[in-house]
Amino acid sequence: MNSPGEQRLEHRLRRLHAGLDAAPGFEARLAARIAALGAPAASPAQQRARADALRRECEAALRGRLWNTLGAALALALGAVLMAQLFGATLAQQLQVLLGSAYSPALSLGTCIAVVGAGAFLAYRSWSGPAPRLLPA
Amino acid sequence: MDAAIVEALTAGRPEAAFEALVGAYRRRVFGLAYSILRERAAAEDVAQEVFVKLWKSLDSYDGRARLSTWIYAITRNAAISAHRARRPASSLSDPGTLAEAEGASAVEDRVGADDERLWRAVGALPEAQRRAVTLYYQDERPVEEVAEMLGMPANTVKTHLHRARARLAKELGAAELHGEDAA
Repeated sequence: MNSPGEQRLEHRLRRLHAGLDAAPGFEARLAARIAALGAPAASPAQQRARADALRRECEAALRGRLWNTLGAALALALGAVLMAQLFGATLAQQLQVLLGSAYSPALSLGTCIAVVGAGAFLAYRSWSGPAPRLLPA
Repeated sequence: MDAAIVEALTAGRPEAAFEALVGAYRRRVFGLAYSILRERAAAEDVAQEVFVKLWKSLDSYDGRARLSTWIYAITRNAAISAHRARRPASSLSDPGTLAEAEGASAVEDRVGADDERLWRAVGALPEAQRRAVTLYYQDERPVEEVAEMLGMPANTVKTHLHRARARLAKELGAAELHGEDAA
């Protein structure tokens, strides 16, 4: 236990040093100096962290595009089957008439479906616009 | 505190890390610089330089050493360099430097007439004792933290504090220390 004199000295020393701090506006002056310097170069760890984040964003974007493309392909396939069911026989007969008997009805129908599918795909591409940029320019 | 700063650093958010770092270490960095330089303006200049240096070299901090240890080492080096540049081969124990310390105390608004003699007595302490006293009483820090700031063992800090108190008590005299108690 300290004596009253020692306690008084402790109290006075604390009071004497309590206000020891930088002048007001220290942070503002520091911020001005820092702003003049610009951002620091990223460390290897920070570069890795940023690259990982960018990779995750790219993967998510690619997954989105993949599902979009698969959905479109499925829709096209279903449409082609439906077209074949509805108009396949008629179309095959007309094609056979046009092309002669050299081609079988199945081959004619396949060619027809491929042409329609390619046209639909090109129409879809022009409708959906260009692929989004994954990386900044 | 340090964990949050390091986490922000490794997450690639240097601005947030630096903001937290300044908030957490401003008083400590200033106090450490002041304990060495014993002058407010010079201590503030050094503190600014230290934080600018920390900002520039944040990328070089790899997390192996404690953040506080790294910051205190930079601050000590900067303050000692500033002290040497200001007055080569001088010590605050020297009469000339002591006069400067006494002059500095006169512009400290918070120091009243009653504490002027104590302030001078603290300024007249040997450097190691004065630094320990300044850092210990600035924020009532644990001895261990003062030891880390000064880069010396905790027992050494305890010894410096003990000797400083004894010297101050002797300087000021029992009558002044006891004040009303002695009356």
